[in-house]
Amino acid sequence: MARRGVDTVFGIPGGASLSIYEEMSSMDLRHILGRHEGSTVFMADGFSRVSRKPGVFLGTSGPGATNAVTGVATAYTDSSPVICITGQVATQSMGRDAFQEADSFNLMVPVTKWNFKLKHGAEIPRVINRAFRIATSGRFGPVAIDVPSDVVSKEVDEASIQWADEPSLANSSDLSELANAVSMIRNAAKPAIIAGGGVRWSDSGDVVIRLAEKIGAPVVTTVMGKGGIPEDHPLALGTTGMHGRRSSHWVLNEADLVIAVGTRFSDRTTGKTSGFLPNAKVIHIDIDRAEIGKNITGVVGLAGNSADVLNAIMSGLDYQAESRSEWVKKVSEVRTFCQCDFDLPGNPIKPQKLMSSLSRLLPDDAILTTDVGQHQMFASHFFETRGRRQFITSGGLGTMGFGFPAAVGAKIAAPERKVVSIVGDGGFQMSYSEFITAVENEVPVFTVIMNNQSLGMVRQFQKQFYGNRVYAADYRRSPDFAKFAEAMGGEGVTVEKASEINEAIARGLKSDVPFIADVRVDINEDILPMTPPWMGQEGTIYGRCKWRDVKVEEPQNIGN
Amino acid sequence: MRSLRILATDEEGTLQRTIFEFSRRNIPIGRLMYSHEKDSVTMHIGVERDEDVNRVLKHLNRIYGVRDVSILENEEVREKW
Ligand SMILES: Cc1ncc(C[n+]2csc(CCOP(=O)(O)OP(=O)(O)O)c2C)c(N)n1
Ligand SMILES: [Mg+2]
Repeated sequence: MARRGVDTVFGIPGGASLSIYEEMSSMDLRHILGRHEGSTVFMADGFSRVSRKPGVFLGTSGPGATNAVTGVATAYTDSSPVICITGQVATQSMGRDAFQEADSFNLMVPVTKWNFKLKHGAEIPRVINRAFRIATSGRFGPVAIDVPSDVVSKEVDEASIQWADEPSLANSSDLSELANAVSMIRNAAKPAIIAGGGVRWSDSGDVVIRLAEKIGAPVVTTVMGKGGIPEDHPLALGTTGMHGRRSSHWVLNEADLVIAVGTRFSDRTTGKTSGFLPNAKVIHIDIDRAEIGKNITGVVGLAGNSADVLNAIMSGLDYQAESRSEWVKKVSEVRTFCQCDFDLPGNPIKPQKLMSSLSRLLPDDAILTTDVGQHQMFASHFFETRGRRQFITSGGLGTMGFGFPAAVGAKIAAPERKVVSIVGDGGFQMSYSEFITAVENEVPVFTVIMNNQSLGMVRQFQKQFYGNRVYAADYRRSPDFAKFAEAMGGEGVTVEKASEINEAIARGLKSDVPFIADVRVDINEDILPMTPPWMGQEGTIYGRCKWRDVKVEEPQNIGN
Repeated sequence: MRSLRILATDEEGTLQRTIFEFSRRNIPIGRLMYSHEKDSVTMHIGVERDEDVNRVLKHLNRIYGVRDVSILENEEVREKW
C-alpha cells in the first residue's frame, strides 16, 4: 500500500487484524483510529471523494466487517473508490463458526465492485495492486479484501512474492453513435445538459461548461453532480430532482435535446419517468455502459470517460450559441426568476436563513458535507457551490450518519481547505462518537447542526402523505450539543436567534479545534418545493416557492 | 425459456455476483448449470421471460470477473443440458 502512495489508513483493530497492525506499526503511516467501523468507512469515503483516490479502511473480522457494510454500501451507490480491508479468522478455523467469524466475503459481494479473499501471503502485493486498479478504473467503486490472520503472520519466501501489477484496465468506450449525437446537437433548438456524479468523479466540469458555452445550453446538476460545475456560472441552473430548483425543471421540460453526462437517472432525479423530459431526445454519456438505457430508454448512448466523450463531441461542432440566443436569453430570465431571496428573517430561525448565511460566508473553496434529511435537501437547493466549492453527500444510499465522519475524511484529504459539515440532529447522533476522533487527531472540522429536534424528513412525509400524523419522529430529549463539543475537547455554541448566526459561522470557520454550531431551527418549516416521485410534476408541493404562481402550461410568462 | 451463457474467470465471487444480479432485479432463475475447468468457469442460466434476459445482460457484462455473456438459442441449450 505504501508503494501505492497510501499515507493514511482509517481503522479499528481487533483480534483477526492484529497481525496486519503489527506489520503497520513499523511503517510511516498515519492511522486514524475510529470509534465505529461504519463511521470509519465514511471517513475513508470522505477522503476518497475529495482526493479522488482510494481511502483505505482497515477493520477486524466478524462485527468489524458487518459494521463496515453500511459504509461500503454507501460508497458503492455513490461510486466512491474505498478500499475495505478486513481481518478474518485463520484459514484452518474457517467454517467452524469460530469466534468473530462472519462470512465477510459474501457480505461484501453485493456492495462492492469486486472483492478478494486472500489465500497466501505471497499474493498480498498483487491483490492490493489489483484492488486499487479496479477501484479507480472505469466507474469507480469500492473493493474489499478479506485477510485471514494466518496469511499475514506466516513468513513468506521472498522469491514467491507476486508483485506483478495488473495491466491497466481499459475503459471500454463506445463512440459508434458519435456522429449521430453531433448531428442531434446541431439540429437541436433548445439543448440542455444534465451533469451527474460522474462529472465530479472525472473532474470534467470544465469541459461540460465549455460545451454549454459553445452550444448555448443550460446545465442542471443532479444532487450527486452538485459542485461539479460552478453554480454562479450564468448557464448553471442549480440542482434538479425531487427537491430541486424549479428553474432546472423548467429547462428540462422545455428542452428538445438533453445531453446527460455521468448520471444514472436515479428516481430522485427523474421523478415519475413518464413525465420526465417530455419534449427531449436524450444523448446519454456514461463510463458505465450498463447505465445507458437502464432507467431512461430510447437514448443515444456514448460510453466512455465524460471528458473524452465531450471533447470528441466538441471537435465535431462549430460555435453555435449565437444561433440559440433566444433560448439562452429565456434561460437567463428563468435563472434570474429563480434566484429568490431566501434570507428569511425572524425567529425561530428558518432553515433557508441558515443556508443563505452559509452560502454567503463560506470561502469559495470550502467543502460542504451533508448528512441525510431535510437539511441535506435545503443545502442541495439553497447552498450555492460557486468557485471551487465541493458538495459531498450520501445521494444514492441516503445513509444517515455519513455527514460528520465524511467531513473528517475530507479535511484529512484537504487540510488547507475549510470543511463544513451540515447535519441534522438525528443523523449527527448516529455518528457523533467520531467527534472525539476529530479532536484526538486534530482535524478541525466545523459542524453545523440544523437542529429541529426531530427526524425532520420523516416528520415532513408524515405531515404531507400520512394524514398529518406525526409519530416516532420528534425527539423528546436532545443533547446539549455545544456542551458535548466542549466535553470532547472541542468548542461549541448554541444559536437560537437569527441575529447570532453570522458570528457563530465566523467562530466555526476560525476555530482550530472541531467546532459545533447547534442552530435551533423552526421544526415546522418543510423543505419545499417537493415533487413526490410517485406523483409527477402535477403533484409538486410549492410552499413558499414563487413558481407556484407560474402556470405549467404557459411557462413563457416567466420573466416577461 | 431463454438461456444465457456466462464465461468468467475462476476467481471466487463470480458465481455469487452473477446470481445476485438476478435476485436483486427480481428475475427468477429457471435453471442453473455451473462448471469449472482449468482457470475459467462457465454458467448457463435459464430465464423465463425475454425482457428479463435483456435487462440483466448488461449488468452481467460489467461484473469484473466476467469475460463474455451470450444469449443461447433453445436448441443449443437442450443439447448441452
Ligand atoms: C441509517 C438511516 N436510517 C434511517 C433513515 C431514514 N431517514 C431519512 S431522513 C431521516 C430523518 C433525519 O433526521 P435528521 O438527521 O434530524 O435530519 P432532518 O431531516 O431533521 O434535517 C430518516 C430517519 C436513513 N436515511 N438512514
Ligand atoms: Mg432533525
